[in-house]
Amino acid sequence: MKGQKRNMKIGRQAASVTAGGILLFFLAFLLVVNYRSQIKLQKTSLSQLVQTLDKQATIISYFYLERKIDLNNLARARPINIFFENKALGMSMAYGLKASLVQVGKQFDALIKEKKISKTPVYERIVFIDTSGNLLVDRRHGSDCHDCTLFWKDFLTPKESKAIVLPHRANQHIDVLVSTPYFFKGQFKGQVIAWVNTGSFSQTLMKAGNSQKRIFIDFGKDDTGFFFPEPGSLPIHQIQAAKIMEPFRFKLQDLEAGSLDFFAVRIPISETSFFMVTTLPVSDVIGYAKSSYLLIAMLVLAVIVIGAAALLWNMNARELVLQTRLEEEGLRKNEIEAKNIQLEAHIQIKNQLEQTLKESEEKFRNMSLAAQDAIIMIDNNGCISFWNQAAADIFGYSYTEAMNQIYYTIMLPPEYNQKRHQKEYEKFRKTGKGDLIGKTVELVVKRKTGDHFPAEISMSAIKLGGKWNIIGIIRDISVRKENEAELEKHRENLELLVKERTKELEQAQKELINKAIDSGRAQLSTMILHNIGNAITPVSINTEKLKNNDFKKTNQYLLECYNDLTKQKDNLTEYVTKNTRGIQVSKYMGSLIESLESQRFQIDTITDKIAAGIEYVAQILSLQSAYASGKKETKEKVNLNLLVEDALKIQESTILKKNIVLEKSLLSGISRLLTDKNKLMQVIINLIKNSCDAIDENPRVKTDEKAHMISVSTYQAGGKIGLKLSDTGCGVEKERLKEIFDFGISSKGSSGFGLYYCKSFIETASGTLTLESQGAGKGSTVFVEFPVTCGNQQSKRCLSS
Amino acid sequence: MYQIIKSALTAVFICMLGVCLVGTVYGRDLPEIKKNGIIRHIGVPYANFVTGSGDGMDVELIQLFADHIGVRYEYVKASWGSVIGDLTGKKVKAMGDDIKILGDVPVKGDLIANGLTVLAWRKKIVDYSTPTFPTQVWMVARADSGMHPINPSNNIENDIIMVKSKLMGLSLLGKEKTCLDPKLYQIEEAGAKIKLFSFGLNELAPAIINGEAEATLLDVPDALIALNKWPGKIKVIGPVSASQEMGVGFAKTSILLKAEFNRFLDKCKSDGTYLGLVQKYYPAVFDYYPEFFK
Repeated sequence: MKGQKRNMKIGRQAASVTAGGILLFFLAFLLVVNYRSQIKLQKTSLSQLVQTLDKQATIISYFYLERKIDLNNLARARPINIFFENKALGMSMAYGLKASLVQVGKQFDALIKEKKISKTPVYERIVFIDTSGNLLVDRRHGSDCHDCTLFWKDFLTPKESKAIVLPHRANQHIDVLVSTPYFFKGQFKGQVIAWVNTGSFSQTLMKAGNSQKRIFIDFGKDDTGFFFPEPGSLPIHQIQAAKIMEPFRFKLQDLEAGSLDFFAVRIPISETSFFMVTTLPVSDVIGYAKSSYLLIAMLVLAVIVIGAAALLWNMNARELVLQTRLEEEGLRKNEIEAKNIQLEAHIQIKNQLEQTLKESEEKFRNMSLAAQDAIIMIDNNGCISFWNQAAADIFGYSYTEAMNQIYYTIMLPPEYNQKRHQKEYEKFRKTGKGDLIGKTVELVVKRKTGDHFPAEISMSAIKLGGKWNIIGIIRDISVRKENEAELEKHRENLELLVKERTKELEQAQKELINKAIDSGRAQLSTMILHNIGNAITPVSINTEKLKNNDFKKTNQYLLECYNDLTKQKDNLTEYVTKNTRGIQVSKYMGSLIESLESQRFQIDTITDKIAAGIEYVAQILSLQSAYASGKKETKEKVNLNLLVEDALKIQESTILKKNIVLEKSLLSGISRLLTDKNKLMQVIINLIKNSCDAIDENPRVKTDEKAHMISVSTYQAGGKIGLKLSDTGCGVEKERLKEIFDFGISSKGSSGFGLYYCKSFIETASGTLTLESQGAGKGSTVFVEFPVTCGNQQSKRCLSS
Repeated sequence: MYQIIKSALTAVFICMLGVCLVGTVYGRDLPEIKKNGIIRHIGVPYANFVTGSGDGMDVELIQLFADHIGVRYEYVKASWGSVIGDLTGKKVKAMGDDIKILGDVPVKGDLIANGLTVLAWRKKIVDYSTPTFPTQVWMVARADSGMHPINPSNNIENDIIMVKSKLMGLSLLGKEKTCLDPKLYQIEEAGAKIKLFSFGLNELAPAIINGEAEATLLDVPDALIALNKWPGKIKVIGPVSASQEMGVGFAKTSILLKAEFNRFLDKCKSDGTYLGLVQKYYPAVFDYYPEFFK
């Protein structure tokens, strides 16, 4: 333990030393790199400065180059040549030669006007002098510009071939001149000199930008007066002695700031003999600190950092380590406490779980004791491992007797194949599956006493300790079985009773149907008698009319007139033409004859009606005989159209009486039906009667006789022969449509046999009867359809209306 | 009585006609010009006074004068032979310093301005304004001519003599009825072979360059222009006349018009307008005649 601590201490010390060394090295590295960077930065700044100034000097040199080009062009211009040509011709200034100079002057004026810098003319003055020094042309930008006399001969440069730029000092003022010689036919004849506007030139091309930076033009003379602008206290000679394009450091005394360090850079201006001298404070270029100062500052900083590190190292190292250890101990202690708390919590949970388990076991024990069914558990070896009280009660084996016994030895009767059970159980032990597992079956089991009894057994497989076990619940169902046998016996008795009752009901139904048929027949007979009555009534009325006819009276009157005339037969003509009475009698006889004629007509009409009535009665009686048959059902091939016609005839009086409009559309060539004609007739008559009654009962059409309508049509389509009967009657509510054909249902307060009977007959004849209605008051439509059977003959009659 | 009245009326009519005719025979004066609203400028295309292209020193001067008096300007082209008649209505012939009237011609203008040199014979028929331009007549020769320009002395008469001494046998161009009429300067007496030029004065310099003669008379304005146009082709030998002046010519009857023009010219000289015109058309003349333009 102690050795470990020592080793740790040594290790930490070594690590600290190593870290300190690395820190030192890093600091030294930083210092060196920083110092070298600063030096390089300064050099870069200086070289950039020189480059910038060089660019500026290049601009100035371009400016002067352009001036030289201007002057050279001017000297080569035609006007000056013309002057000398004219002069060579001998012309004098007094007579003509001056005119040439005028053109030269105009050219100079044009150049002054054309060349500008910052909107001011570049040239202040341009002159042309001859070799004698005579000022031939003098053009100026301003009238008082350079108003001074010069010794022009000094400006002649016969040896130069091109323009030169030179300074000229006059009246403590320096001008920059551009001068070029003029040659006429190879001979030097004069000089063109131009004054450059130094003011605008310096303002435009010599901008310093910086308040302390200044730019001068050194005109290349030893005389310090050839500096533009005034150099002031600049060490001109030193600057001029300094290397070109290299910064020269010097000090300047300032009244306020004291001694200041300046850089001066001298850049030659090509195309001239001038130099551009730029002076600016050193601080503007390389900052305020010297590189040596920087190095010293860095060294001091390094010493301070290292000293502080060493001091800290000596003073606080041990204490820091101890403190660190204390903190670690504290942390460890906290961890242990936390773990203790966790452990206590686990123990508490465990106790709770044990308590819960105990309670659960207690609950299970009580449940098993209270259960009425036997609950047993069979272990993986087939031995009983649990045997509740109910099991003991049912089988007769006590808990101790049953435990660890093979289950099928004590529970199953000997006739059960034990070997098969063994085999099945072996399979279960391995797989947990069996034929009876997860099912509820009924088996006959045995008690201890040897008695066999039926039991209901439910078996489930569970895995305990990796082994399959069976839980079985067994219920003694011997009592239930007895009850079931008794119930079966009662059920059989009940079925016998139901069959007997059903026979009785069918018999009653048949009787009812027969009654309905009879009722229908009676109804039919009643209708026929009613119709006969209706037919007889007009016959009797017409017969009565015949009786009450005035034929006899008229005959009598006629006889009296005859007698009267007979009396006057001797002077008959005079009597009937001249005698007043005779005339009246003859007139009366005429009227009587006319009356006899009308009476004869009336008698004819009445006898026709009587004959029609008798005929009608005969028809009705014929119908009655046609449709009045015995109870025995006879099938025959029937023409549906004829049946419909006859039914309508039978109902004719009712239809007429109720002012019903009848629309008929009977399909020609409809197939015949093989059915009971009489019963079908009854059905059709019933349906027509129902429609008539329905029209009567519809309050909407009752008062509007024009809305009384029945439409009848027959059709054959889709293998069916059909009859469609529509009326504008009271209709049927939609919810009652389903039960309208039910036995006993009627909307008219009757027995309800009508539609039920109709439907029964039609369905017996393999047909269908359906009724459709849009609702109460909206009429109804009945469809009667029969299948078309093979061999039906087509009807030859066409009875469409 | 009737006869008297008739005669009186005839007389009045004739007088009126005469007045009208006078008006047409002689130039109009200022009131008539203002009334008519137009001033007619008679100009012979000559040098830069009347260039013939619608501008010129005299053209611009008279246009300014028209604006000054508030009338419209109209240019009337003339020739040296017709210019006097176009103004005065009289066809004249110079006879030395005198004139001979040959007939009447229609008056076409109100004033003559085209560098009209003041000559003695012209003064007999025309009134001149205040001098508008200085001039002199020089002899100008082709550059390759054997004649050498004189060395000027400070005396003009000596210079003239020196020039005339070179005239013997020399073919010389001149133009009648102008300031370049050789008769005015006794050129023929000096032995020169005179050739009277029928074309315009502007054609004289090209004529000698083309060899039509060895020399020609040219006045200073024309000579300055010719020297500028054909440098190295011609040379000035020297003067044949003393200094002369040019002015604007007016009819004798246009008194008010002349007076108004003189006022106008004074105003132009004082406000720099006149100098501007001279600078524009004859910039070289200032060097030759600085005194005139002071």
